[in-house]
Parts: sequence; C-alpha cells; structure tokens
Amino acid sequence: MFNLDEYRFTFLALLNLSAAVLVCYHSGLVLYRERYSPVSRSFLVASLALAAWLVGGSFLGACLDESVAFLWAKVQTLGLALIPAAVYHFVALALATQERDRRKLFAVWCFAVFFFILTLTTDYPFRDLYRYAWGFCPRFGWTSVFYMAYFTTIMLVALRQIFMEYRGARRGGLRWFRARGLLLVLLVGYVASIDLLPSYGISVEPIGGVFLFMATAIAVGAFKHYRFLDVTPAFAARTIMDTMSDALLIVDPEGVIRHSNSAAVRIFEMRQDALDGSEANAVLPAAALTDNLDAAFGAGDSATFETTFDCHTRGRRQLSVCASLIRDHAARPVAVIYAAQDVTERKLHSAHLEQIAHHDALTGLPNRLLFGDRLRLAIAQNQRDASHVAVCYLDLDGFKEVNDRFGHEVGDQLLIEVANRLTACVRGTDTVARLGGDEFVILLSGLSDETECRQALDRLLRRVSAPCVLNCGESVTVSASIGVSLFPSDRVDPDTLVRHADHAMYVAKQAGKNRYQLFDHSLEQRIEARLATICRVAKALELDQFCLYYQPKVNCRQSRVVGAEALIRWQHPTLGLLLPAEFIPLIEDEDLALPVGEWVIRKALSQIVAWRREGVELRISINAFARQLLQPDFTHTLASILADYPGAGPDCLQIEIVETAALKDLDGIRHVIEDCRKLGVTFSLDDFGTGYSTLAHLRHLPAEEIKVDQSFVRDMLLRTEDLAIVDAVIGLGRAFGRSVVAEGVETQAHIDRLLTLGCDVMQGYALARPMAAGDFLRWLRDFRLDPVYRLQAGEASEVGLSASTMGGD
Amino acid sequence: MHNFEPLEWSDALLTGVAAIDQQHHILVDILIEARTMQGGDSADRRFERISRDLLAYAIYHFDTEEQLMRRTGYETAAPEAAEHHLAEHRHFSEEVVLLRAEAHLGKAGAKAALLSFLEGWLVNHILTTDKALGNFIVASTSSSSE
Repeated sequence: MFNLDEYRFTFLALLNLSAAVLVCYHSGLVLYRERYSPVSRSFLVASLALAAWLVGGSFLGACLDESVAFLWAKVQTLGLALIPAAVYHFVALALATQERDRRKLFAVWCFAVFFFILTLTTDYPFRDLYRYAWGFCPRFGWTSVFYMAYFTTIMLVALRQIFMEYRGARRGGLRWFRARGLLLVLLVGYVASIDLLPSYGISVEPIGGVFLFMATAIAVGAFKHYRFLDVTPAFAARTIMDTMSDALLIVDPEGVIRHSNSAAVRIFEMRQDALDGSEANAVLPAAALTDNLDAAFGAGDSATFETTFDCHTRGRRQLSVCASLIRDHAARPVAVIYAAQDVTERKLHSAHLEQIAHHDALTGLPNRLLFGDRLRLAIAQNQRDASHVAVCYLDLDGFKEVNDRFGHEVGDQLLIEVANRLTACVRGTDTVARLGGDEFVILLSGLSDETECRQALDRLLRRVSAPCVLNCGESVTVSASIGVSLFPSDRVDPDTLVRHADHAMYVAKQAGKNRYQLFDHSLEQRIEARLATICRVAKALELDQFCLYYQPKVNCRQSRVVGAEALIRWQHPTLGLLLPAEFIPLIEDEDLALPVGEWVIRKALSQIVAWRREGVELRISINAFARQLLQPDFTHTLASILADYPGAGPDCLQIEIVETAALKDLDGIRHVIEDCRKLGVTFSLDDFGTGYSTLAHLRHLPAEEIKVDQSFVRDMLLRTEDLAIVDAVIGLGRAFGRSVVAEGVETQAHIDRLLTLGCDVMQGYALARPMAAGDFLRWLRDFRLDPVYRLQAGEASEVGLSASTMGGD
Repeated sequence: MHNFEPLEWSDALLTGVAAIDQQHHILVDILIEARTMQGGDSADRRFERISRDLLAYAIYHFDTEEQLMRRTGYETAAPEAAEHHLAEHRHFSEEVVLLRAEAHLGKAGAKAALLSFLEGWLVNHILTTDKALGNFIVASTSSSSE
C-alpha cells in the first residue's frame, strides 16, 4: 500500500495532498497560538477529518491497484463520516452554543460514530470502484442516500446557526464580523463537496481540496482578526491570572510554589522561574503551611490574613492574603492558592482619611471627635486610679482683631503658633484639640489635685500671652480665656463636662479675659438664669410685650417742646412694667440687641407718622446699641427702614448713643454717624461726661447734640464738682457748635440754674416723666395751652429713678 | 433693717419651697461674690458682670416667685402680703439699677453702701416676706394633697 511505485500522482492529486498538509498546518498553527482554547482543539479535529478525506481522495486517485485503492476509498469515506460532526462541534464552540446544544452535539456524534463504524466494518456505502480521467473513484449505492442526508442536514444546520448569529449581530460589530467570517468559511468549504459528485457518476474535476484550503485559510485569518478564541473559559482563566492585580501563588501540599502569575512577579520582585519552585514560606512568611492543612484551614477551606513583605526596591509592603485550599475528588488537599494583594497604598490612604476625620486640617491637632474619645478614655482611666481630669475650654482674646488687621493668613499662622505653644505646654499624655475658629480644648488627666491643675493653667496663660512674631514681621500679643471643668468633682457625662468648661470660659471672658475660671454649679445656674432671661426678652419681642414711652425735651427759655426721647419698657406678664436699665444690660452684648434695636426704630418712626397725622411735628430720639450701629450694613438697614415709613421725614429721627459705648470703636461709630447724616438722621451723645477724655471724643464724633449725664445735673446743686462738669460740658457744646441737653432735671431750681449756665434744652421729672404715646399727646396739648409753664413743687420733689437711658450705663 | 453680719448662706434662710430656696442660694452667692471683688484692675468689669447677673437673676427669680404666688392663690388669700411682696421685689431691681449707675461713676463708697443694703434687703426679704409665702405654699400644697 505504501509502495510509491504503485501510485501515479496526477497534478490534482498532488494539489489535494498539499491542501491536506496546509489544512493540518493551519490547525496546528491555531492550536499553537490558542493552546487553552477548546475552539482551537475542535478546529484541529475538524481539520484532521478534512485532511483524512483529502489524503484518502488524493491517494485513491493516484493509486494503480484496485484493492489498494479500495482501502484509500475507505480512508476518504471515514474522514467524510467525521466531517459534519467535527464541523458542527466547531461551530457550536465558536458560537458558544455548546452548552445549549449539548444534546444535539451528542446525537450528531452518535451518527458520526455509527457511520464511521459502518464504513470501517462493512462495504457501505460503496457499490464498486471505477476508473475515470483522474484515476479510481468509488461508486456509491442507493443506501448512501442516508449518509448524504446526514451529511447535508448537519452542514445545513451549522450554516443556519451561523446565519442566525450573523443576522442577530449588530452590523459592523465584532460578533457580526465573526459570524460573517464563519459563514464564508463554511460556504467556501462546502464547495469542496463537489468531489463527491463523481461517486454518483457525474464527472467533475475533484478540486475540493483547493476550496478546503481556501476555507481554512479564511478561518485562520478570521481567528486572527476577530479573536474567536478569547472568550472561552480556559483562555479567560489564563488571561485573568496574568492580568489580575493580585499576586497568585499556586502551592502544592509540600509548600512548593508550582505556579505564579505576572502580578506575583511584580509584587514579590522575583523572576517567575525563581518564584516557581521555591518554598512558599520563604516568600509569604505568614503562609503558615503546616502538615495538617485541614486543621489550618478549618471549615470553608479558605482563610484570609495580613502580612508584610520586604521588597528590594519599595521597602516593606503590606499584603492582604486570601488562601484557598483545593481538593481532589477524594477531598485530599492538592494545592493551596494564595491571592495576595498589595494594600500598602490603601492602608496609607485610610490612615490619611483617619487623620482627616480626627484632626484639624490647619493645626494638625485632634478635633472635637477625637477629643471626645480621649475624654471618655481619660474618665474611664480616672475611675480606676482616682485621679482628676480637667477639661479646659480655651478661647483666644483679641484673635479677631489680629485677623481683621492682618488678614486670614496671618490669623492662621497665629493659630498654628498657639497650637504649638499649647502642645509644648502640656504633658505627652494630655490632649490639645482645636474645636474651630480660635477655640481650643485641652484635656489634662492624671491630676492629683486642683492645685496641679491651677499650675498647669497658669503656665498655659503665660505661654499664650507671650508676644508672637509672625512671618510678616509683626509682633502680636493675644491672650486666652480658659474655662475649666474638673472631673470627678463635677460628676457629669463627657459632653456636659465640655459644656460646663465652655460656660466657665464665657465667665472668664466676661470677667476681663487672660484668666481662667473653674466651673461651679452656682455659676452654671446663674448662667442658665441669664440665658433663660435673655430668652424671655426674645419672647417678649415676639409677643409684642415692649412699648415705647416718650419723655419730652423742652426748651425752657422759649417754653417750647423741641423733641422727645423714646424709652423702651417691658410690660412683663408677672413683674409688671420693667425699666430699660433692668433688662437692657442683659441683651446689649447679645445678638438679640439687633432685632430689639430695629423694633425701637420702627416703633418710633410709626409714632412720628401717627403724630404727624395729628398735626404734631416732633423729632424723636431713640437709643441705639453700639452693637447695632457697628453692624457693617447698619446704614443700609436704616435706609430701608426709613423707606418703609415715607410719612416720617428722616430728619425727625435722632439716634442717641451712649458716650462710653461709642468709645468701644470710635472710628467705626464716627463712620456710622457720617453715613447716617447723609440720610438726614442726626445723632446725640448720651450720658456725656461719664467717659474718659471726653474732649478728645467730641472732636471725633460729629454728633449734633450732646446730653449732659443726669447724675451730674441731679447733684450739681449739692456738689460743686458736678456743677463744674455741667458748666464745662455746656461750654464744650458751645465751643464745638453742638446743642446741649441737660438730663435729670428734677426741680425748678435745676431749671433756673441751667438757664443761668446757658443750657436751654432740658429733660427730666421736673418737666415730665416718660409717658405712653397717648399720655404724651395729652400732656403736649396741655403744655401748649399754657405758655406760662410753671412747675408744681410737689411733682418736682417726687424723686425716683429717671432711667432715661436705654443703655443703662 | 441693715444686716451688718457678713452675708452667708444658712439653713435659717430656707423657706421650705425647694425651687425658691435654690434660687435664693444663688442670689446670696452673687451678692457674696460682688462683695469680695472690691479693688483690683478688673474689679469694675467684674462688678459690671456680677451686677448684671444680679439683674438677670432678679427678673428670673422674682418671675418664679410671683408665678408661684399666682398659682397658689396667695394673691387672693393674702392680698396685702402679696402686694407688699411685689413692692419689695420692684424696690430690689431699682436698687440694683442704682447700684450699677453709681458703680459706673466710680463712687466706691456708694457702691459698698448699696451692697450692704442689698445684702440686708435680701436677708430680711427672705426671712420675713418669702418665709410667709413659703409657709403659705407649703400649707396649701399639703392641704390640697390631703
């Protein structure tokens, strides 16, 4: 059979033979490229079947001996028997329908095996051999119809499946290209079945090999271009292994690394060939491989742990390792797979987040959150060793001024400096935290007694108040007000302890700054009473419990009422009518001063409008809070309030400001006065003479009117010093061109004396008490009716509290 | 009426009404504190604060007391005592306002005298006027609970 002398190869036979070789070569190439893909293996099977068919055909055609030719015909037909099943299997894998078509695949292979065995053991499907132009050719009997039907059906089913895939895919997409490639491969390959025609007596040249060669060439091209084979699980597994970021070590039960991936090479900085074959414990020290793997892993066959690995170039790395135990069918351990993740960066990041969450960004000090934790810990500790814990709430004095004057950057610098000083001032076991702004809180723990705490506080105050030279070259000095609550003498929860320290700080601040104040309960109750009273005042505003009383300013020389001072009263539901001096001091430094102040302005303006309707034209002066005037937008607020009362001319409104209050910010008040004068509103300096260096202020404050403080007026008849002051103020007013009003005029004697001194405009009980609006109007009418105004001696002797100021001091 | 003994909290000042006693104790504390801060750089500012606390506390405490008087029917049961009580309250606040004005002018002697007056006032008020109210409240609550 293999004596080449018995063959005479025609050109076509050689062509078919070489096609067979190329088909095998192609499939070998595919298998080599895509070792892990089942598609390439099934492609090989199909190619071998085709090659068998081609080889059988070409030797059959070249063979001279009929009996040998019959054997080749058998080879050819055996190949043919396998072709449909192999092609169908390949298509199923290529389209990934093998799972769905499992039963069809099985049936197809059953048929293939059936025909294979039938051909091998019987003469089916041949009738005989005959010779034609290209050598021997088998002649098929009629029973071959079954064979051909099987062949054609399966090939058509495969074609249909590919066509459906082609139709279903998006035009131009990868699936579409793949299906089109496959379709082309099958159609071209199918042309090769013309080689079967001579077996039915139709004489054609058997050039099927050429088409098969073309088909496999197209297939190889399609594989290469459209990456047919990369979707298979095995291929994916390999790809995943090599593209995953976790280092994968596959270790046998003896603890030797059998396989590693490229991430392992990268993370462990070892060559793959060095890694594979080395001891797992040498690479992963915590791998803890023991003889008893079952015990080491426990239930679930997996374990996670963290370990470190010292890299040659990147130093110590933190690894998070997940180990899985792999067992064979008899549940014996066969391998351990370690997936190690480099979590160094993530740990750093989470440490950073931790830092952000628990620390202040500017100073790096712990924040309120962390302080709370430390405080709870310290209290727990204290209960064990019976020491004291101090919570020191610290607020900088004068920080705002530094910020306003030098800007935020310098302010921030100062805060950092203070933070450093505070930290340097306490022991390592103490905590300095920043609560925000210029507020810090310091936790001193393990104190043996209160004296130790006081010493620490004195130290803190001294350090903070030392001059501080900033980067800009300026030297600034700030101080601290510290409130302190002590545990366990103040046995409350941590939050309350901080609140108590805050309260005490408030008191320290009020008491004159640069000091500390220990919290005590009486103090808290006082503060609570104060806050409760402030709340009552706020409520009073809401419930409209305030009203304005009016006290006339009279020009006694001309016997003419020139204006009225509006004075606030609180109609308290239980305590009755309260004077401003009784409650205004409580709110003058609070935000509540602003709405109360605005209420006064509005009420006075509406009164001006109401009186104008009655034909009474009077200038009303109101008392304003310094805090209110120093609001940056006060002038705008005032302008918009004035706009709400078009019936009241702005020149009818006068604002009285207490001299000492104006001293708090002389420049600021001066600007406000200047701006408001543009609106037509005039100013009066109240309680004049009580401040220091009165003369200097008067030059700077462009107020039209000054009011001599009532205490001087009241006592001027008894005390020569007071008389001298009154006289001086009147002289000042004359010198600076300001009108002068004397307050606290209680008797006719006062009036007479003031007229002699040259002060004409007066206010006081001798003329009239402050009155409600209706009473004032009645009084005014009577006053006008009686131009020869005489005082009643009895009324004048009724000395009480004139309380004509709103500021109270 | 002036009490020249140093002001001090003692059980003698108890009225029997816990809410009132607690507030009295605080009033006494404030006055003692005001007394102790004569002199020193910041004395004026501390005095300013303490006298302000006194004002606030007066409003707070008198409000409590006067509400109690109304609730317990003291005004109708003892109208004269109640009226006297209220008048004393008004007087106290007025004196504090005066004290503040004096302190503001730096009249130290006047301040000390006024403080003495306030201390004496407080003790007398508690011992007579408030105790009467306390007895009334204790009696009325115990009779109503029987």
